[in-house]
Amino acid sequence: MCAIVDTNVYHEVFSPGSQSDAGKYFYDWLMRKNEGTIVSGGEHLRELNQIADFKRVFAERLQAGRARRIPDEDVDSETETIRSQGICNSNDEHVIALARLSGARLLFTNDGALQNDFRDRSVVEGTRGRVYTTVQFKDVRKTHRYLLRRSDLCDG
Amino acid sequence: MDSVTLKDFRCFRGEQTARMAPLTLLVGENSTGKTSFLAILRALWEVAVNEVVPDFRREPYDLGAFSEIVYNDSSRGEQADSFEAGFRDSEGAVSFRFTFQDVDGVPFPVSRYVSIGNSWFDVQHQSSLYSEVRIGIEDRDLLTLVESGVRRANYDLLRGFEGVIGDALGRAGRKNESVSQAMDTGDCPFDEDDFKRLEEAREEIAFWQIRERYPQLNLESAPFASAPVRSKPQRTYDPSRPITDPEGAYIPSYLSMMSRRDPGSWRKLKERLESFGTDSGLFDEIAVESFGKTDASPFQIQIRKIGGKLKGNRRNLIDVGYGVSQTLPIITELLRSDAPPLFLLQQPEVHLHPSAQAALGSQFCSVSGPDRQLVVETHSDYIIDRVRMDVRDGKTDLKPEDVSILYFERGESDVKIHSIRLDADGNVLDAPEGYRQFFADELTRSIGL
Repeated sequence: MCAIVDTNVYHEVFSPGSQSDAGKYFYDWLMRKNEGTIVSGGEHLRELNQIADFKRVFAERLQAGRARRIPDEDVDSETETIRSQGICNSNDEHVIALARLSGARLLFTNDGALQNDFRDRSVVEGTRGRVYTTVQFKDVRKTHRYLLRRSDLCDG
Repeated sequence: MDSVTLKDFRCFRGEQTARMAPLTLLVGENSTGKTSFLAILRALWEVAVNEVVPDFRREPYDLGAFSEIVYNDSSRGEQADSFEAGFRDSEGAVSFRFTFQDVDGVPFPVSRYVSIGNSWFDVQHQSSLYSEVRIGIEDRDLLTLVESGVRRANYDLLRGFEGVIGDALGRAGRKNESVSQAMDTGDCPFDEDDFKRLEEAREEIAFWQIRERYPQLNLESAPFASAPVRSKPQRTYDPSRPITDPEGAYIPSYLSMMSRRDPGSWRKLKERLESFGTDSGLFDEIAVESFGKTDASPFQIQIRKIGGKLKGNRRNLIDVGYGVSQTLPIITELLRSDAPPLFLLQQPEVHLHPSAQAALGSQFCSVSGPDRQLVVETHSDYIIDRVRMDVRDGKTDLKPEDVSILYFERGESDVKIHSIRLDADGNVLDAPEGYRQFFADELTRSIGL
């Protein structure tokens, strides 16, 4: 299963001292045997690449086949297309573009507008997007476990 | 080779198939059979292309006697009585497969099978006197007997496929007047068109014989199999006949002889060596300094590194870092104009700084292709990552499908080979559970998460 980590929660996943319990659960899912895959590319990767620990994790997971990089030019072009269509309520068209291109249908974010865009099938077609969030609970809840156990959140 | 299939060979229990590509990288922990895999590739080349009985004790791969080569799990009491190996080349739609059994303690190819298109030939060695040859087209087949022609004294030569099959076809009735007789009696399942197809297949087999396919090659050098540690450099060398050896001890003499006898080729090779030297940061100039004017004169290998404190000085090979002398044999072999079509390299990164390891990865990309296959056993992430990036960024003619990463994973009592691919974006595909788990755990600990 593949997921996108929004920049507004990176510290909960990748930063020592700032990890939430649910963020650590997500990190372990990414690093354990045969579990998760994360995707990035374009503006999303440029933002996250400014964070040293994320860069190291992403580079290692790329080597292991547990991260997928979508070409920057593809993500940037799709972002522009979405922006010109004006279909997003959030200002995170680059995350929506990444979901469309990669097939990732799980998003870790605490941004309400982005959550709505991601779940909206008229914005992201195919399997309905699901959101992993720590807005209400930073500890690990059933919902978190359930989402990371699903195997159907990767289109294509 | 597009794929290699093994059965009950060393630590590989049962049948396994590995995807091969112009550049194939072998990765995995120590003692997971990577070197054994290289050894079987050389053996396959020898038995299929050179048509000799492979020597499994010849350096750099000494696998021991038959009992040490066949799959053996003493804890379960499992001991196979034969092992198999084969390969497929889809360009020519050719596949070879061999069964090895114990003959006087050494593995002997008692069965040789080759298929070309829909035609196939299965040669079963029965004795020093004769072999059974089954000729087939799809599911129709005919059994014949032909002379073995095996030199029993030292078991080194096999009678070539082409000759055996030629005899078998003759016996089956293609040659002389017996075609119609055989067909009349109903013994032969083939008509004249079938025999034409079988004859074409026999001609294809001849193409696989190395002298026809690679006439420029010195047969001693095909394939090139390097040892994991190369020979120590010397301050001054006495010229000797440059006979290929896995540790590359012949390389200084080869360079000296070329610089003296073939200056044009030497200039080209020197240029290529220096290009790699600069890219890798190892050296900018390489030279042969001779102490006399004859072929018998002693000489030194000298290198120059431009920049820093070493600017302007040539230094003896022995006086610079070990990385240069350890890499020189491999790079020279890769760059010489008569380089063999198959390279089997063990840990070419030994003694190299990561930047030079990465440059080596680029070098592998630039020299491998349809006519030259490189199989590289490595523990270097820098080589693998450079290959991945060069393919992704179009810095090489290699396409993603031209690279295969074979991951050797140890199980309880055997090893499984996983074939990992790259995509055009440099992503790693088909990585199995557990691939690079050690690195993930180390990184997590390093970051403090």
